[in-house]
Amino acid sequence: MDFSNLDILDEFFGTGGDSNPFMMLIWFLPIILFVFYGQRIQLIITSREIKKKMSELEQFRNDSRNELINYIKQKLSPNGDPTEKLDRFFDYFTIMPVDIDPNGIIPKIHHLVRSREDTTRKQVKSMFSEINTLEITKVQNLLEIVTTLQLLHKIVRHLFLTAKKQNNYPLILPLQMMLPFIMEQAEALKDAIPAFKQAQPIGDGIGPLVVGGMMLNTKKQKAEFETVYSESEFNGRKLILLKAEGPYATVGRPGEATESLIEKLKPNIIIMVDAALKLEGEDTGSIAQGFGAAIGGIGTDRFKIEAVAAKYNIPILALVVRQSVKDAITLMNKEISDQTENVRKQVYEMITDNSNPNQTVLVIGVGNTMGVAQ
Amino acid sequence: MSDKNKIITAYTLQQCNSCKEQSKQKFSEGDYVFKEISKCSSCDGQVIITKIFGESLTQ
Repeated sequence: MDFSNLDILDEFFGTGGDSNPFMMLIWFLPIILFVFYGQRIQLIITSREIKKKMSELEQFRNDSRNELINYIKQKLSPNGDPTEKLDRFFDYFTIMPVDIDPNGIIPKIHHLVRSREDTTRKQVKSMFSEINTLEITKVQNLLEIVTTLQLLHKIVRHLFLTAKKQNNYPLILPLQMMLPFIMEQAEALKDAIPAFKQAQPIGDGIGPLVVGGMMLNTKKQKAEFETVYSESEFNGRKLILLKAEGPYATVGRPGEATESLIEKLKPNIIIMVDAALKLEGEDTGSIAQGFGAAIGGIGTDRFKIEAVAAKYNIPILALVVRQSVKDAITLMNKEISDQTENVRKQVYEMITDNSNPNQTVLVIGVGNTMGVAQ
Repeated sequence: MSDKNKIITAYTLQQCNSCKEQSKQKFSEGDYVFKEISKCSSCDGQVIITKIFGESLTQ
């Protein structure tokens, strides 16, 4: 074929002219396409990515569900097949109290959370003719993991399907932005399962680990449900040491326990040791000191501690060990574990610097005490 | 990618409360921190678990 004569091509693509209709079509067609269908094209591309993440989430949820069911069947010998009952648990929901209540909703939230915990414990117990406290707390935590993963999957699926149904690209944007954070949380939950199955200490347990060491060789007394305290002495100060009862997988009831101990023993200062979320760029296991009640959760325990401290004018000091979400709920890593002695030393320094001899100091180790006794 | 190649192994650190001799062993089920393990072979003190932690091996 002879290509030496390019006049025909020139005619079609208008390299020499400025009004070729074919060339105009080539330029205008994509513009028209993107103006009218741009969002749909973006929706298709974004949907593909979200679908991939959604199937990963579903996999996490299915794997964690199967792991829990197998754990119960193989290790705990339940009464009959627990699958149906467990599947019902995974769908449990909580309706939060009306938040326009002028009288305060904290007592209502507190009641709701405790009722949920108590009911779940009873339901777990009812699945076995014989089960010890450690296993009950482990199963409760594992149930919480599967329920959260199921909820995350359901929410992501709902937002995705709604956007698809409405063919609405802007509706999918918030989901696209939130998905990396949701996936980070989901992966952390999935990775937490082995530690909970074997009752190994998790990163969140650094507070109970520090205070548990201070409680060794002291008489332990019950402060509240799954919460213990003991009395000790340091440099002429009376120490009241409080933590969840280990090695169970529980955070105890630090709010109620602090209330009753303050009413009974009237401490002069409160020191709280807890794990705290690190900011990006901060080192895992770095220690920070501050003021205020260092305690996470839904907020009811913090409210109780703040209220009783304000009532008796007791200063609250905090000492936190920084870590990521994943570090906090998976097997305690070496960086965090290696800080135990350092944190304990800082607690003793805080006691000396902020109290006088003959005064009383309440030290609270906040967090899940799984795998950490006292 | 690096996360997928990480294998985390749990260890326990045991220490005699008298001579402070330490030994590191692989975690076995039933271990927990401050659990009394046995009498110390060198000084007859009480050996307890002082730490349980995970160390990652990158493959």
